[in-house]
Amino acid sequence: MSKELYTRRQAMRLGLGGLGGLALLDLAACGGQAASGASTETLQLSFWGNASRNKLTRNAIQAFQQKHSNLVINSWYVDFTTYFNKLNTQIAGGSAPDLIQMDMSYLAAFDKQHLLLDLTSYISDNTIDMSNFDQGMMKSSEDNGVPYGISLGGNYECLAYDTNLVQQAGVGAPAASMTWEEFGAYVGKLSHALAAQKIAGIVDASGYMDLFEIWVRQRGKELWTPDGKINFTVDDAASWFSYWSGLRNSGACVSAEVQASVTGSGAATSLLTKGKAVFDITHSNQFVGFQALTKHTLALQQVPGGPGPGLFLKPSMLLSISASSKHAKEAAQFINFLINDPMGIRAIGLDRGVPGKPASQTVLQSTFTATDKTVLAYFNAITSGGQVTGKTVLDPPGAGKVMKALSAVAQQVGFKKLSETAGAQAFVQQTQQALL
Amino acid sequence: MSTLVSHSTADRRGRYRRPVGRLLLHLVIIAGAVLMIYPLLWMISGSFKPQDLIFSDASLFSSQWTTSNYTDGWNGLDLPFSTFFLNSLVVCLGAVLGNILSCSMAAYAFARLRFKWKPFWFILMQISILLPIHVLIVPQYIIFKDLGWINTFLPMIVPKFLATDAFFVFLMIQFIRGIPRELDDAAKIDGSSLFGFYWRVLLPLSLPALVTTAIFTFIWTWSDFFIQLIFLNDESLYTVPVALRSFIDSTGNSAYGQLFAMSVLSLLPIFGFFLIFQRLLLEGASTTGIKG
Amino acid sequence: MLPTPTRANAAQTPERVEARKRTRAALSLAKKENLAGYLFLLPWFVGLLVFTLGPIASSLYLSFTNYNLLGSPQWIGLSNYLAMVQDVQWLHAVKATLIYVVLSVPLKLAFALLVAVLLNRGLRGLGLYRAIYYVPSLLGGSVAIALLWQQIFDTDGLINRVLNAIGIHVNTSWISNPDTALYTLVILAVWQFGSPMLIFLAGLKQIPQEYYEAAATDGAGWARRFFAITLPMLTPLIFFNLILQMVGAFQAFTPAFIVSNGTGGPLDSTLFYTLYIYQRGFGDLEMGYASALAWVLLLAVGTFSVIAFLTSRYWVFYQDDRK
Repeated sequence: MSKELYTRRQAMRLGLGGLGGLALLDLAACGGQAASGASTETLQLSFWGNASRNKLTRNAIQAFQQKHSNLVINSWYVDFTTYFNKLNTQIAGGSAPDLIQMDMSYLAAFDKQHLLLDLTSYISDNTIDMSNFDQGMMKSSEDNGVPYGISLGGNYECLAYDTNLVQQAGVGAPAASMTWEEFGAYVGKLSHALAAQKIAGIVDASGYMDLFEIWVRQRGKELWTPDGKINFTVDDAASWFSYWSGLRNSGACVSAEVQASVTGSGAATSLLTKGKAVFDITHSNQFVGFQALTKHTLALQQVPGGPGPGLFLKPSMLLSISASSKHAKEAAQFINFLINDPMGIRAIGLDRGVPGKPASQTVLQSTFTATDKTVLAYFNAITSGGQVTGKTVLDPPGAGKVMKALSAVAQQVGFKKLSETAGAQAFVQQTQQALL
Repeated sequence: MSTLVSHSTADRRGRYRRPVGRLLLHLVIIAGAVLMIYPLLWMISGSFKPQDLIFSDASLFSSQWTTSNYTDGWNGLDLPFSTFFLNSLVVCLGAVLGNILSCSMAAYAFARLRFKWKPFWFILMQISILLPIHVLIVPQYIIFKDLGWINTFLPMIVPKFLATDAFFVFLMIQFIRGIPRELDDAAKIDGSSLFGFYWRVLLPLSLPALVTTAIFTFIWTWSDFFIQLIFLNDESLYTVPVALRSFIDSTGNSAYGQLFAMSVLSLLPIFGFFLIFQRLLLEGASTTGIKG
Repeated sequence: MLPTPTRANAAQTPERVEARKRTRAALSLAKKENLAGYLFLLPWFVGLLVFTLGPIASSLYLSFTNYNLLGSPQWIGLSNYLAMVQDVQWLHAVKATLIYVVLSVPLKLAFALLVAVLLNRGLRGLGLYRAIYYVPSLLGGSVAIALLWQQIFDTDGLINRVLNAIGIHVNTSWISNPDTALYTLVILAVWQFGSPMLIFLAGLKQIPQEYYEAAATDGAGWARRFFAITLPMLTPLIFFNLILQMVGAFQAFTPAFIVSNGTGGPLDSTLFYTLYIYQRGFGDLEMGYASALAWVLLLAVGTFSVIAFLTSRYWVFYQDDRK
């Protein structure tokens, strides 16, 4: 509300009132926010996601507003692909959202520009109660040892697949754990069996940074050196591109054209929900979103195994507070509501990952759906399995750019504009540039 | 009037052509017309088809019809589309009012008044028509940011009150030049002020040009996307184009029918204007160029 | 132009005193008019200064800086311009934009002219035909139509369905194929030939019928009549449309943004120059680089326009110099 008043004052100063601008501004003001009142404080929350996440988030906000009748939280969301563009534009425009959903890959970059609030004081005065919170997840949302966000849930990279199509193909369910080679052969069989329907075994994931990271980690190293330089080699990247070229050439994964039709991210634009591929790569928390968009029954599958363990618990969906927020205290209360208040915990469920507090999981137990149970079972299986190794180096500020570079180079390799080796060289070079 | 003229010329030329040729010509033109609007018809029919049937064939007809795309799509985002329509309306009305006032004032000065450096300003005005907005957008963004106008409608409205749409200044100059000068002199002898003349005589006489300006401003602002994309952040302030675009993010593949339905609705105001003001629009569109 | 009656009277008045009085009155009137002229132009002046000239100048300055909107601009000299030459994406953007402009503008004008000539044969139902052909150009720039286009050229879209129906089986999307994506946008632009068509139609009606009659008596066929009379007579309008459409094509943004979901893909094939400015400026917050990009666009549009103007004297035929 304060925003409207401000603009109105500005308008007056310009003498716009006389030109009828004022009437328009009045109209504009009532077209917007729902609730208003003299003492009402308005916060803004930005996040990436889709309609179903939005619904859950709005539920959580509504529950929060019931407890804090003087607070109104507005929100906007877009797909992950465009999220950081839009967020950047808004911040540059001088009005950062109070609450910012943040990704690990961008945390350092935002901190470097001093855009995020140090949460230490709110944690120590218990505005945000972090007792019993998973220490690994906590660590991953720090930059230089300072917490700049609270993870709303952890998840593992995983594969989701269409069980109906697997049945149709008649090749049997996938083995619980497979090597990359075995997996490639398996999806090849799927493609072959479903060729008449032009359904491929798996999407072309060569441009997915998260999966590439696991590929590299399975080779016993992190993507980055502790001082934020590149730690993977041209060989790592070349072997990665070669693996996918193999699948592409044999028809085991979708063609470059089909993959190019995926311009967004998440379930909404997935080739799996579109019925063009049996397997897609996702995060365990997004499984619910995938299942919601298809009538077929989906299942989770572990990422293929490499020489060593490569999976790690990813604290996704950090919730950060803008350094310039005038309502930091209230924003912190909202974060606390989401991780500690049973109403908040229930409202968002597992959508943003498995909560960092064991107590929260207990709260959720009673409301679990079948899909939720699938996710939790997978989550626990991975946690206790031998494929996990904690991430020791956090993403440097340029990580977001590297993510974009991989997807661009992978597309060039996919369309055969670059050889696998040339692609690997280009990717390494662009990574070095992004990390400067 | 113009059709009358063309009819008579046709008769004169028609002597050389056989009726078969004319029939053929009609057929070619009709075929072309169908081709031209088929995509639009496909969209309209798709908006009434159940999701599964939209892409099943290219036909406009369907075994099942439904209006649920409209009802579901209307509430497909957080806020109902009525919010976005209202926002678009506010932006458009502001832009229309601004353009009508400021452009007619500037046009009056250029068309009728004698003042120093006029040829220079006139050329500058004409050049500014050709200036791409993308060249100006970064500094404009900084200005609006400093004014605190990001995430408000002001960046879309205020410049219009300052005649930044020089195209319409040009359009009105052309029109005002066609108004007999005797009127000016009569007004001068009457002792009415220049402003009085502008307000009481010129504006009413320029009504056709003003309406043309209003309609085109409305349509262009209604369809504009770039500026609205850049300046609006809050969903509660989204205009129709921005809302349509975010529709994809939220529903993705699952709701093409709803997407079509909302697309159709978003085009309705433009189409409505076209039907109501068809003659004025067509004349306006064809005459803006004639004297260029 | 008609001489104004008051002035004529003043010159003819025999009495000198009266004349002087009138001159003085005319002088102060001229002064008043000068002032009034500037007053009426005041909004326009403010707009010109604040939203046009000011931004042009400041974007020129910014183009020599490194600026992310959060700090203050740092002067880096020509670095942005030098970086551009080595920027592969910039090259892709230039290529996509030039192909788009060079293909879509002439095709659009050709269709506009062709249909205008066909429609100008004095057919019944001209009003309806004219309206139908015009509608796409009225709606075409909108997000809705760009979204529609995406569906039309998608794997299961209208085009492939029609092709399938006539026995040509295409199972890939025209939008996600880097070799065809740009051309779907060219088709979208050409589809909107309605507004230049209207201008041509109005121009065709102005061509004196006697010319055609004389030509017909000489036994000139339709082709000869078209190339000897219609085309030369229309050149001023062709020129006008050419400038307008060209400048418009350089500025196209919405279709590329919607169809590629803001990416300009696949393989940068739909990376319009304006989209690239948007990505670097508003996505990556590199406002300095974006300003340099914008200035290159300005120079390009300027150069193309000047070339068009300079060559126009060789091919644009002005019948007379009426104003």
